[in-house]
Amino acid sequence: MKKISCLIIPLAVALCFMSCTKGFEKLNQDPYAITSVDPGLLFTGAERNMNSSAAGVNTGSWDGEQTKVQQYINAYNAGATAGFQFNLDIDGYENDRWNAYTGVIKPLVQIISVIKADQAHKNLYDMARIWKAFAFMTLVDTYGDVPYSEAGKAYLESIGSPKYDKMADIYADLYTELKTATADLSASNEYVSSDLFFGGATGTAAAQVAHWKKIGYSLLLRLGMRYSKLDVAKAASIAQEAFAGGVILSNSDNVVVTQYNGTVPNTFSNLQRNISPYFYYLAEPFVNQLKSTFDPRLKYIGASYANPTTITSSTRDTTTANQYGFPVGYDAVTFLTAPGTRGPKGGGLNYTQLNYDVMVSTVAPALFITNAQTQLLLAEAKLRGWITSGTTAQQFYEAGVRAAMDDWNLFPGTFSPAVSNTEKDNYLLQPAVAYNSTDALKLINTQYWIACITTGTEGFANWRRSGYPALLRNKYNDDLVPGGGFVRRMSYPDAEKASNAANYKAAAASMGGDGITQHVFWDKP
Amino acid sequence: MRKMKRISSYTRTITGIVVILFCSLTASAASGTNKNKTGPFYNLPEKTITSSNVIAKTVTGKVTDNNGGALIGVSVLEKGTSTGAVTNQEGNYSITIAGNNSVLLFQHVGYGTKNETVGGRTVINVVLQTQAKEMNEVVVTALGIRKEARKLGYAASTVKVEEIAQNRTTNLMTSLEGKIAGLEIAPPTAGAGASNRIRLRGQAGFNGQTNSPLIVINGLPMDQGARSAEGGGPATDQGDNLQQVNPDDIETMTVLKGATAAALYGSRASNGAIIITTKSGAKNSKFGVEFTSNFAAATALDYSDYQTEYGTGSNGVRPASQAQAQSFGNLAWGEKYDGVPTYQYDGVKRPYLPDLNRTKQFYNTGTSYVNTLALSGGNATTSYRVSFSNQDAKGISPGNSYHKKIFNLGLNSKVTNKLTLQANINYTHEENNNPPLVGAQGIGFSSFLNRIPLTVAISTLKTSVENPDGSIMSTNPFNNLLTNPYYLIGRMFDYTKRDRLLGTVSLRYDFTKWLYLQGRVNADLGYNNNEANNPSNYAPNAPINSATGGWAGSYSVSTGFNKQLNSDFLLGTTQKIGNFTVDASVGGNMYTVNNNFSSQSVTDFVVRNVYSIPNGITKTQNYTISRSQVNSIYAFADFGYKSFLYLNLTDRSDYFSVLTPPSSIVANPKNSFNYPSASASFIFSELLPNVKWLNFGKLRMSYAKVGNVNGVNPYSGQLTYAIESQLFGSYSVANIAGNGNNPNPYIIPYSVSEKEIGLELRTLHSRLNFDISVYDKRTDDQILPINLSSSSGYTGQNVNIAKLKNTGVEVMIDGTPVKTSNFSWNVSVNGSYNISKVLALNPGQTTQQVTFFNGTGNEFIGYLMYEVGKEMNQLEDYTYLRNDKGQVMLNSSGNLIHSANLVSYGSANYKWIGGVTNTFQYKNLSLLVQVDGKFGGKVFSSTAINGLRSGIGKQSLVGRNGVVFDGVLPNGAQNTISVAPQTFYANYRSQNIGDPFVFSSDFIKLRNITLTYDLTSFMGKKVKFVKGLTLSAFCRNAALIMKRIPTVDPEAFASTSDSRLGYEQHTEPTTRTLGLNLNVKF
Repeated sequence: MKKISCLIIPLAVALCFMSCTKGFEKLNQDPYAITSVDPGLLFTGAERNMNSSAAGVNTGSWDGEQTKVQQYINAYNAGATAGFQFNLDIDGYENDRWNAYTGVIKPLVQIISVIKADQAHKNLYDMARIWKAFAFMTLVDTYGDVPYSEAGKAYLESIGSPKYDKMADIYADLYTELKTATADLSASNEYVSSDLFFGGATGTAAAQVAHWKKIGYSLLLRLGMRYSKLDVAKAASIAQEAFAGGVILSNSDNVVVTQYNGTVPNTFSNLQRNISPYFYYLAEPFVNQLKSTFDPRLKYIGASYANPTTITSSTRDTTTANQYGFPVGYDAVTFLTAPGTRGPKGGGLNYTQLNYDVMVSTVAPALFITNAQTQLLLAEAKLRGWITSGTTAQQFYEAGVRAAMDDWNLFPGTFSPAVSNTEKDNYLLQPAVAYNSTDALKLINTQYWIACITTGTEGFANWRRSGYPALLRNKYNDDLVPGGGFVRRMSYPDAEKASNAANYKAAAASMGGDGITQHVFWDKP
Repeated sequence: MRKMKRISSYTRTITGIVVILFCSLTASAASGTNKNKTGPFYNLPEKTITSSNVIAKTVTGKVTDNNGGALIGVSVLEKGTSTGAVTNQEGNYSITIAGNNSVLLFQHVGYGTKNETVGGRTVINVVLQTQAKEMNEVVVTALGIRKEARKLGYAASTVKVEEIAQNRTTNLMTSLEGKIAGLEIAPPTAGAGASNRIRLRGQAGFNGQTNSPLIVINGLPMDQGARSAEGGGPATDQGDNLQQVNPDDIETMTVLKGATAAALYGSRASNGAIIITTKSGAKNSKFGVEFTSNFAAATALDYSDYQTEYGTGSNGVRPASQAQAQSFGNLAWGEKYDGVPTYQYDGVKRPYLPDLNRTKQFYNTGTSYVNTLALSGGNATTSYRVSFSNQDAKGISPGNSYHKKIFNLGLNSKVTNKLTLQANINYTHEENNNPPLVGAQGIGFSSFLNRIPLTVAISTLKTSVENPDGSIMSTNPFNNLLTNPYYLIGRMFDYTKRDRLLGTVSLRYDFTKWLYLQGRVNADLGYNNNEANNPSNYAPNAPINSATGGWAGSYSVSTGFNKQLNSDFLLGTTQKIGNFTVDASVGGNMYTVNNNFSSQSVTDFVVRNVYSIPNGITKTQNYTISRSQVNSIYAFADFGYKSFLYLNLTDRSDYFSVLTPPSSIVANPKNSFNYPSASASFIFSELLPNVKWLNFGKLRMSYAKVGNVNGVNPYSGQLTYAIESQLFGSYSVANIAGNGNNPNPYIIPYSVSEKEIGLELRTLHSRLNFDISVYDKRTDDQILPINLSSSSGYTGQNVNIAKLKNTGVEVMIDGTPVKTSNFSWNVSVNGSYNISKVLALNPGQTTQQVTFFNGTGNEFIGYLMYEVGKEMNQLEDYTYLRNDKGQVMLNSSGNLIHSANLVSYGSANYKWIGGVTNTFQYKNLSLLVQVDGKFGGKVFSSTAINGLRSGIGKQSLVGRNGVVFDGVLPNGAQNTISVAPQTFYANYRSQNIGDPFVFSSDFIKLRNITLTYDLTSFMGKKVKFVKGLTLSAFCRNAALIMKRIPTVDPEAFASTSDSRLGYEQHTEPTTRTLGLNLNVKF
């Protein structure tokens, strides 16, 4: 026995050293790692990430789009909190949209690559393409030229520094993508239960496909309408094509995330809610618009708190007459010199803040594409004679306004219904709201502006496209181009200057500079 | 291919030898046991008995040095027995021995040993010669091999162990600051149990890699394991592995500076190595007891220099209400202090005056008590030492405490004539409670105290803490970041418990005088437990989280178990052929890591103020394991010619599991690395015996290459998915895992190659000695975490691309200007100069952002960058926009505009580091005075920018009535627009202009004064059983002689990581420590 052990032990030791890398492959695998996953679960994340504080893609941001269109203001000019309200190009406010690449585009590109030829995931494949087109449309609207054809492919194709594609080219391709993906959706293909909007444990492919076709055509309608300043014929043709395909015409078709809860809250307004609420106020032009028309939505959007610093413990006043927007062009120091200044209140300023229990509650829904938006776009399309429909522009307009009011049914802390029919009727009778063909464009797009209070990117895009409402230039630090005072895009993230230098430089040159006053291609000056 | 063949032939050869040797070893051990029926341990006492056939007799005598001075405490041993004596204060001894055949062995530290056969004598007087000890000094080198220092072809410094035991710091390494050339120690101010930044010859790898040297304790290699505050959010420093070493247990400590020295440890030692051996008693020593007691008290040093003219307020106006006092609470843009009662945040009107000495009022006196008891002894074959140490320390931050218990066992036994067993066990239990939050614009105490105007008194903060409903009383608009410390004290906790067992068992079998085999197993087992919370009602706006309906707050508990096993063997031979000597060895090593980590955390609570998992509303759990293995084979040989020329050659191959992705991804990964080293030592003084002034002269040269995969995590070559722990409504959500990192399965090891030349000279009877090294250390194929354009879907990826180099000079001068029989003065000077330079990044890439200090958290300005062709760790930021004439260009409102591009303000790295230690010895009294300094580094001061923009700093006194900045307006005219200072200075942050906030971080400190009195001779007369008694008093950080940064200590930085270099941000104040150390030997 001893003899044997005296051989076995050293042999065993020696073998350990000799077989230098045996077992390394297995050892270097995480036993808990998931190396393949149902692509539908990735899609759920990509849908949701169209709104989040880390990857806010379509909802905009309070200090970003909503500020540029003068709905909102961060009055405190305290270093890093200064942004578009002071016509400043602050990197921190310009990166959120770009996060679409990591939060939305990366998983979608991965899904598309994995299931491209998979017969069992045909509908998911098309839905992913539609959702990806939506994300890229927002990116082009925000920045102009952006990486498109090479985007999201670091892992799949080892492209770590994607080239930027021309914005007009991207739009052209999005048109094709939306059309073909929407057309390809079929009730005879699979039902995608992981779809956050129209999926779930029970459901049918037929119903889901019907919804998604409406999503596809509604996006196509948006895309067509973007050409209204640039190429009327193209705008008309795409709008008609989209309308004929069938767009969202009911709030039940709305693309909205409603699942937020205590465990996974909507973090869209966390900064405003948690850090220093007294920095943030609704802007005067927006409040004045709602106040002067006795808009029943104002009580859900804004509130006047007894002490602006403690928005949860102080009493809130939502009486329309008591709401005042913060004057654009001033900050928390200079506003004392503004005409009719309301001065300080408590630890903050005596102006209307966000309604933290309703519009920006932690369980508030995230709206992406709504019936209200579609109806209002159709109103303009009809007015311009671009679509063939028995419905009049006024009918579309009024349906849009009513639909926007009904969106509030989804919010916590609202009446049931949120806005009654009587209130809607009364509102539509307001002189500044009632339809008249002379002011129709202004009326329609002003309503679009209001309807987009929580979908900032769309509100900002439509304001640039339509020119309504006609806002006064923001005179703060007004060193922008002559006649400026308006921010028309976001500049690229500073990180691109280092991590994608050559392509960044080419894109900036092509844009005529990487500032905040360049126009995206459809925003013809 | 060729390389692979060579390696496998190696393997075969080694295996063959090992098999043969192991067999013969076990066979001979077995046969030995058969012959003597008693076990090997009983062999020698038997022999002793047989040799003592003669009647006992007593021998007396005196031991003197070569000058005739009495030597005290000389050990006198009867050879082959456990009988011994010690000389008294007159140098006399008395010993009763077996008889005339006995041999007496005289030993004394620093002197040669002497054997005297007793014969017929009863009085034996002995003269012990002073040992020219450095010349024959033995140094513990790689793999625990003891080598004569003269043979080394590279730089190795021996630490004076008694100095670090007397001048004790909670973390062992802290006391080495400024003592060894080329060794940079930087202790952050992060509480009683904080880690150190340890760099040898600069930073060899980029951020994210382990750039600290390898720590080897009794042959057990381990990483420093710094758990430092990374910043970017509330962060704490949780110490490092060197805390688990008791300085009393250390026998030797050697710093192997270069790659050559460490080449045998392979990849983990590319940053050098610190080799520690712990005590295992002395052979032939009586049972002895040693007791050490240490007490130290630390007081906060206050360098703050805030303005005391203007109080809390905004826009030049003081608060007119409680609400305003709260919303202006972080701003000192109010009115001039006038003593008029003014609203404060708690609604009380108090005189409008500054509260001074805030630091002294807030921080406690830190204390530390350490007691160590050691028992040791040994006979002719076996020696042992057991020690137990207990430390209870309190930090200066309220609530911060650190406790540790260290149990250490050392055993050394010659089991048979040929077989030696060495075993060491070190068990540590640590408890680290509430380490201060540092290094972020977060809720740390220091952040609050540096950012709230002096108008609010500490006494007010202490009494006006909470609202009637128990939520925090708002002191300022950012209560969740600038939180009243008195709200957190007692409500917020962070407890870490850590158990660690280090065990080494080593067997060495000497086949013959020239051939031995050594086998060793090291185990490093660690268990960590952490519990922490964020208290409820943290921010005044959210006592209840409306989304969950629960009390806001969070609680987490995590446990980790770490197991590292390191087993190696070494087959060595020594040959002497004429004038040549050869020491050659082959060996192999297997290093495995198995860690697991589980965590549970909850947010929001059903019952208020109860922090437990079941009470939490939203729960998250995780369990992960990390495992890896490195297999190595190596061989080395030392050749000597006569006694003046030595050549050392080594070669090693490492095989890494972390570089082995699934074969479906990479079929044949390059997961191994072979690297050689060569060094030579030429003792030219041997050839110059007639040059009297030169006692010793040695020239050394070396070259080494070491591979490294630091920074490559297990499993990192594969794309995986992650499922979110919380359902979203009824939906599961998946993501691509990896935090945006694109997996790269093609990573190969990077290499560090180092060239070194050194010169050692000893002159004037070794009273003036020099040691100079020059080195050039290059890192190739550096694994660089490059930033990808996030439009690629991923934000970063590791690639093998970058190159950097460290070049430098190290000098040590040791002199004894005065030496008489009663008094001596020794001066030891060390200095080093090091430049770390980035040679290349990704092709086409010229800069690499390490940290954007405004992007990682709620911090402010500046970037830490790598830039090709420049020194490493450049601090960059935007500067003022200037026109062709150099005038600052302002916008039409008279405000600042930043430059188009980032500019560099210089490197955060120190270039010059040095220290001077003076030791004065008068009879039994010795005084040590150490001064050290660091020079040539730059730092961004967040304290300065916060001070300016909030009106607290003295810089903000300029332009109180309106800043009319010296610059030109867009129309070209000289600026005459006056801007409110509050607005103007805020623009430094929004524009990211760094100019006023960059400082030199140079300093000189009177680091250490230690007074030691050896009372042994005094005690010897009266208390016979006391063999030694030493009392010392010390003062650490006695004075800051020079600094250039205002308001803070240049050493007041937060994190020991390489990602936050050059960024000062509201750490805990530095401290001055006064202490007493008592050492008694029985």
